[in-house]
Amino acid sequence: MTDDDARLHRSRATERRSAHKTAEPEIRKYSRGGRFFPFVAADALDPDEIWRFTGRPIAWIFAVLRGDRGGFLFACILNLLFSMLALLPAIVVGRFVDTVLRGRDFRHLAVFLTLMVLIPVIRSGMMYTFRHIFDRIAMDAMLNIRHAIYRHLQRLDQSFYSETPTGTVMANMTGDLEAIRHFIAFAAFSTIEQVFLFVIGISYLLSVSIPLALATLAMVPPIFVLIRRFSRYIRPMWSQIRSQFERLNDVVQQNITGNRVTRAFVRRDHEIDRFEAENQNYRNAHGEAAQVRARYIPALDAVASFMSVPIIILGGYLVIRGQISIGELVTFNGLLWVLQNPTRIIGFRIDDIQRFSTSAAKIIDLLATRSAVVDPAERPPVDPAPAAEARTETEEPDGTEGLPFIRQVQAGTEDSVAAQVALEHTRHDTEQITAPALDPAPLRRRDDPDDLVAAAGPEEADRHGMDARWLRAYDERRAAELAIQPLRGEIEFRDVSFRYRQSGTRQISGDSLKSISFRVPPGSTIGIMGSTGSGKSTLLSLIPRLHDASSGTVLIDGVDVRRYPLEALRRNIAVVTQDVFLFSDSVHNNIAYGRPDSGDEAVVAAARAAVAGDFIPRMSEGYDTVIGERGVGLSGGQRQRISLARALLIDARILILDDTASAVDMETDRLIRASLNVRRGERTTLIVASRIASIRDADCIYILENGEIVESGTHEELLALDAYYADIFRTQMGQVQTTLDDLRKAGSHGTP
Amino acid sequence: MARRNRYDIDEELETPFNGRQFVRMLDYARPYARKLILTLLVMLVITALGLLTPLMITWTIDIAIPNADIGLLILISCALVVIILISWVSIRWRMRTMNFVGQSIIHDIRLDMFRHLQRLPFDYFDSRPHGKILVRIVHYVNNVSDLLSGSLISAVVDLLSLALILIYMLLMDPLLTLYALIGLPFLFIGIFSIKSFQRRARRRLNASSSNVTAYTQESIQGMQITQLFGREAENRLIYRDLNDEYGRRFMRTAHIDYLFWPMTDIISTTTVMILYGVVALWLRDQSGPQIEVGVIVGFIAYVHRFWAPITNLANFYSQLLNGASYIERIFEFLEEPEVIVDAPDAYPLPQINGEVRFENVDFAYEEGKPILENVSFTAAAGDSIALVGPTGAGKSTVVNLISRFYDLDGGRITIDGHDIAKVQLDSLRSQMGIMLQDPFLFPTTIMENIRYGRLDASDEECIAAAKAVRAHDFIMRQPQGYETRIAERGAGVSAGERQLISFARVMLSEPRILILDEATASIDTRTELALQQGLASLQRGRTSFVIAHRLSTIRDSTRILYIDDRGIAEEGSHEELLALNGRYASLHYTQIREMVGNLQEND
Repeated sequence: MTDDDARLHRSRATERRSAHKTAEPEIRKYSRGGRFFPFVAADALDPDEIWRFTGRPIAWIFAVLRGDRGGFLFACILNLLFSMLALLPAIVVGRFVDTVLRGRDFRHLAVFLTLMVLIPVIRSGMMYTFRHIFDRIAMDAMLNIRHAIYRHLQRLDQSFYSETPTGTVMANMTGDLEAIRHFIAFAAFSTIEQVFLFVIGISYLLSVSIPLALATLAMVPPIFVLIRRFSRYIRPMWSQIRSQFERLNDVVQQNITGNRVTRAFVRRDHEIDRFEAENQNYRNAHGEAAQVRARYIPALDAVASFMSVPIIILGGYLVIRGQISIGELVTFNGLLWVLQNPTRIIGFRIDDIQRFSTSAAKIIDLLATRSAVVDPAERPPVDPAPAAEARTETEEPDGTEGLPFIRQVQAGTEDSVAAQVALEHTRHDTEQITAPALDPAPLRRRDDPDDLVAAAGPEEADRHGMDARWLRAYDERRAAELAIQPLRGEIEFRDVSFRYRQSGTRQISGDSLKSISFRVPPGSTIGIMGSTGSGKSTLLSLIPRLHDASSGTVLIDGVDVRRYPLEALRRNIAVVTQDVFLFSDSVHNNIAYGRPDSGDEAVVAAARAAVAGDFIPRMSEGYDTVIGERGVGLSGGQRQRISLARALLIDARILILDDTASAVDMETDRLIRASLNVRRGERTTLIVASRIASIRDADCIYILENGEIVESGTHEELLALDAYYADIFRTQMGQVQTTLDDLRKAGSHGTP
Repeated sequence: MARRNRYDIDEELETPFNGRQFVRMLDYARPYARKLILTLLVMLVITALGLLTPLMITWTIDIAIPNADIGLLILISCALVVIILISWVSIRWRMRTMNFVGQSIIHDIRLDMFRHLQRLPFDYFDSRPHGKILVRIVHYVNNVSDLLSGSLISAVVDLLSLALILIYMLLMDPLLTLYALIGLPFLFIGIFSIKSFQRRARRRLNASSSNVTAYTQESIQGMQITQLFGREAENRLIYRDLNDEYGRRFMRTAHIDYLFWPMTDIISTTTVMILYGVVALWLRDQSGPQIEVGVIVGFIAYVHRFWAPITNLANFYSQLLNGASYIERIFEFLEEPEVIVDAPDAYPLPQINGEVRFENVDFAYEEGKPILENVSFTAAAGDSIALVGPTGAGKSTVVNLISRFYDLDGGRITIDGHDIAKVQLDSLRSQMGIMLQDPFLFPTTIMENIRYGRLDASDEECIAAAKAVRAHDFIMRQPQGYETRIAERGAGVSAGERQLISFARVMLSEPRILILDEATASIDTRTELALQQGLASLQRGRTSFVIAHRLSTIRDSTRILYIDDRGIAEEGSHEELLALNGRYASLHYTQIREMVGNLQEND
């Protein structure tokens, strides 16, 4: 990308934000331009502010174009000149015919001929320029929006993902963004062009013949009526098409992901039926839109043609009456197309605009979705009471229309709205609240004037309108900085309760965790056991903040987890999840996922520690073998071990193992435990398991039942308690006893 | 297996666009041939009507006005109104029909692709990011619909009018016509020299867009891991790189596309200029044929008309080239071999008893890396067979082969004496109940997920199945019981719960052969104990294959196969294998050591 492109690309932080900032001249240096549309003040890609644009897609897109508005305007002007130049060849030819052909004046022959070729060459150059600018701006805007969504998706918590099918998001990221790109690259300027040409055409025709022009203008009201109605009726059609497109994506997506199940159950026909239903709905949605389109666009075409009628009847009459000359009538008729063309084309543009509006609305909705788990730099933990106060104080008149929308989007809680508004006040104070242990101060170092990152605080980077280079530099820096921030590893649950917040489709279920309190000293090992669905995974998920506790506090090293920078916190906790997700990438890259810059040695060491060192080298390309999406092609046990290696590689002080050896055979399981034991004292380990053997050595074992801790203590203590744990122990011992008996019976006396 | 594709690798194209593919594409338009031909006629009508309008004006100016004939003026106006109304209706009809045809073609192609997808082997899904499959089926097709409906018709109309105008011009003045055609060779040269660039650029653009989609989709699905590992910043960098590449390729394609219009415009105006120049020189030098100025002006008006369809056709060609980059991908997909297909003389497998026999089976996923070599064993009908052994040794492979998810490299597998390669695949698989390692649930209600096992099962039957596998209790604890929706990635229910639901699903399908691949690994000890009873009743009277690590699940099996890297290492009943004191027995020592520490001490 050249400097010019970067210049076109540049955008800036918001008006309001810079007002909050005390003095940051560095930021101003990188911000630029865009005062043509002063009515837009908020940052168009900031999830916290985007609600202001709900229902205002055009305002939104011009806010997105902020830094490129100059270029956009220039290209628009160029485009208009280009359109007007289209009239020039006719004039030149007219003069040529008059002077050269009729007048037999050959002196300027060369000039005429040169002009005839020169005009299209100039026009070509102009077209090339403005199309380049429009396409460039549109592509940049689309990529900016796409990055903003991507960034936003990274911050959304798991409740979003459990409610939103992947296919839907994919549809937004592809089809909807393409509609937006098309709007900027083509529909927007083309609409402006047509309107402009129409207006120019009217003034020109008025100058030729006022009565004829007025008669033609009688067609304008019907045009307006048609446009308005078309706009109104085509819009729901587009939103139907878009929703149907999402569903189509969902169905295909599910089918691809579930390909093994559909084959195992021979549900091909069922799947095809399911797909065919959506496929047909999609076609029908288009069909309905076509009906609407067919009602209005040909009508506009007819109106354009009707413009000729008054010329014949009124023009003819006027000429006969001698009020206008026949020459005037001919000229007028010759120029009528400047009105007819825009009228014919405008229908298609309205269609484009409505398509854009629905897509933009979807994108705005997506970006406006709020995450329940946020970084303290964005929204520090707020006490409900002051937040409510802040709300009454700060409600801006223009903000009110947006507020109900937030309620809708957001599982409808009062405090979220309050938090939203309180945020406006507190955001710039966050530095003081940030946790001491993982202070993001290094990210904000300002002693390096050349470094773009140094120019602003980390929260600045979350302004998506930022310069692309700036964002890249920020991400690079952040990736490097976050890696090294040690914790001690003390974990404490203080009266923690949790219930899943499910909006819409699901009722609120009971508490998944009820008043859980316990403390894990640094370096100790904790075992957790309980029946299926008793809340074990939920409990673990609160530590790296996959969810936030509904009430109570989770503390690490004595600090509320919600006060740590989110990414830094998570980088200090190694988690092996129950469901193994591997990426379709090489084994090496999968293991090095948490520390992408790790060398081969570190990766091999981690693999060995996870007892994966033996099978990986035997794969076709060893550590470079690309594994299929979700790790297909590997056995369950192999996947679990790669996922364990991935967690061990980051060498965190807290290690969470959520039933991670379920698919591993017993011998491997034993080796894994032995390997983990080597460095046992150095990290706090939490293990969920159903095998007694996996947790019996733990410093403390908790038994979870229906979201409550019902037993706790060491292996011996729990046996003495003679309850759940002892029962499980007896069951598993009983199995061992049976085995022993079997071995005796089989007469196998050898001791291994 | 070919090397697996990744998000950052462009997929290679196997068969580039060719005429045959275009003809096959036209096949999709064939069912709508009548509508297309009718549209063609309607469009000719519209075009003809369009030519009549100027005529009306001419009549007005040449006849009505000089004669001061107001009646004629009104008559002409009325005629014009009629023309407008007819063309209104025609355009309306054309719009509806073309949309219908275009969308129907999309619909048909998509359905064919989806159908084909259902028959592709696991390899196809395993060897590339799923996003790249999604893109093909959902997105590529959208880009060819216009090509096959509206654009195709327009091209035909353009060709027709081109021919008409050419004939008319030749009649007017053959010599001038030759001059008017002077630009054509240049146009052809221009278009063909751009063509190869455009094709390559398009192809690269599509590959790039597919990469972005793949990465997006995997990012969404693996977001939990990304968040847990704090990998957001790095992923953003990767994402940005992918998108920058996409943006670059897009702009490159756009720049090539921009060339078309200026090229035709400059060539056509230059042609006109040459015409004028020639005529002017004739006039000046009094050489050449003497032509009326009016004729020249009229002729040149036709030259303009002549170039308009040529410009359209050039655009159509450009569109065709762009479409080709999608068409080739679509057909590449449709021609992707199904691999596992019914033999030509395949017959339906009758209701089976369940005797499964492996005869000298060889199998490898990749050449030179055999998983099973010369494996033979027999499972009598009603037997329960346990497969044990180290992870990755090939236990899952054995059970996958029974359902014929892969074809053998050597030997054969028979069920009740029928070679499974010779029976109809559906009839084979529908008699199997397979519970996979990774239970996949659909994002619908629990009830519907269970019903997937047998689509016509009543609610009561589904509930009975859930009760049998001890899933009923936890389901009732869900907020809406059986009507609770499962989220897309099964979020909201634990792994153990998912296994129970998928267990109920298999239970409901009443299979003849039951295959449990690590199916109860995530279920806690208590639930498992209860589950054992359900399992036992499910196993009764059925042949079953069970892969498990828990010895308690295994010991009651009729026969146990110990599988290691080379195939079956030990085979026999629990007692026999213990007596053998080999690797199976040593599993037990491991377990005992785990539980009681030192064996001797406790003895």
